[in-house]
Amino acid sequence: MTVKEPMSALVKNPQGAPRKNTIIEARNVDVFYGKFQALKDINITMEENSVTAFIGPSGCGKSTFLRCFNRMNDYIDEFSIKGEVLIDNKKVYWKNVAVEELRKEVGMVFQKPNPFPKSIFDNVAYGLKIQGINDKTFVEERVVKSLKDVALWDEVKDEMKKSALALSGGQQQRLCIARTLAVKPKIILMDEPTSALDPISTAKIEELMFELKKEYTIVIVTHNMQQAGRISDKTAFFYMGDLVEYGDTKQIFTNPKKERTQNYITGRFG
Amino acid sequence: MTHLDSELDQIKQQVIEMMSLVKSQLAKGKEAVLTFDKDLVHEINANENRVNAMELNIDRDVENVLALYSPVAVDLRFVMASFKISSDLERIGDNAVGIAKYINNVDVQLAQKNLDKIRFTEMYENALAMLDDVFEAFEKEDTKLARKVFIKDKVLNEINSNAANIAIELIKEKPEKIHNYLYLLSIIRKLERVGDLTKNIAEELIFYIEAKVLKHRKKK
Repeated sequence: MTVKEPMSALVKNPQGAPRKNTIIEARNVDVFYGKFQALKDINITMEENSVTAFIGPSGCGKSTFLRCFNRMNDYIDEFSIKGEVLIDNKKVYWKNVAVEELRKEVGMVFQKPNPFPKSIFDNVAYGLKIQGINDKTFVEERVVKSLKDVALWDEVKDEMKKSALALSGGQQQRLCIARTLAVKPKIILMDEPTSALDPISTAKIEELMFELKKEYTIVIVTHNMQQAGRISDKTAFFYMGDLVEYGDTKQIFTNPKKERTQNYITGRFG
Repeated sequence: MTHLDSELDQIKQQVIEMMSLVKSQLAKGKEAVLTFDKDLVHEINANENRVNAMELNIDRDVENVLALYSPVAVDLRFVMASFKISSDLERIGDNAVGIAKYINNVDVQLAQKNLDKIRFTEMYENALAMLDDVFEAFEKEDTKLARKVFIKDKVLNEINSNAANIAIELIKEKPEKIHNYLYLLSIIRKLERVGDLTKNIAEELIFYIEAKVLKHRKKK
């Protein structure tokens, strides 16, 4: 028998839609800060070109888990991890992993926009330059494409040399996303990316996520239930280090299976 | 109790109040047919405005809760169910008014033996019992009770499907009373509709409490 296409492209689920590939997987993940266990036996898989939202009260472990995907927790004293985190089937915590290479594949956007005190152009080109890419045309093309992808190009095209710090908060956050896109990651992690933004800027970032998931896989931590409902395909609810429930966002927000999830999303947590 | 809880509780109390008024409207309709009491008809017509006003109040409160609180999960299902239930109740109220209207139109009281022949009282009592079941089910959030109406509705359907032939027989016996018998048949049709609307309410209740969609399916 001749297989003309990779099997992954041919496998279909019972409804007939093509099944997406798993890009992020966690197997029996425990995370400790010293003696404190922040995550308990987490098992989850996430599909490529999807948006997954992590929700839960403060201190539930959702940001800790997000930071496991690009090893941002490595900088925290007494951090230790058991189990396996896999990106594209490769072990993230394997001893020979080059963390810089990992972070090229797994970009991150933070709660507060954090542009460098440089020009708009230099901010977006920064990742390419530290990779040693000096081809001016290539860098320019990539910068323009990234700014267009985040719908910022029309607003800044005539002032690329202006300091990024002169932009508004919403523009700065889109610039930071453009900076992440410029190095062509596979995955974008977002840790409460709109919590410091006004509703218009928030709506722009949410629209952006909808567009970006065509090319990237997005994982977002948010405290805004409506935002999780609006933008994500799947939602994971964490509580005190446990992954309580994980499923299609529509199901989680209309008919959650666990009482604790229902109590949290309806605001009756206690 | 959260702020949202108190808003939801207010909607629930309004639905319960509307249920009680609609049930009383329908029960008065039966009384009016049996006693030929035109004062009751007047009372039913006057109360119809209250039923309509209650539906509008519930609509407004549901709209406010959706806009201001963005309810999810069980809260969202409750709000959706209440919205639909109030619309079903308003239509049951319309049927009560429709039944009462015939008292003004028929010339003489319908004979008890003819009402019995078409099984008017049995059908009416079943329809009222179905309403009682869903009302109690709504108050107690009891889906077992809600499911009882699916069986009772079958009795209504059976009486309704035989009613046309019985009406024909009655007309043949006394053709000069054709108007009265057509009105009687029309009342039976309205009661069948009340049964369907009550069944809808039961389905909405089951959707709200169990998150199961029973519409357009065989009932279990």
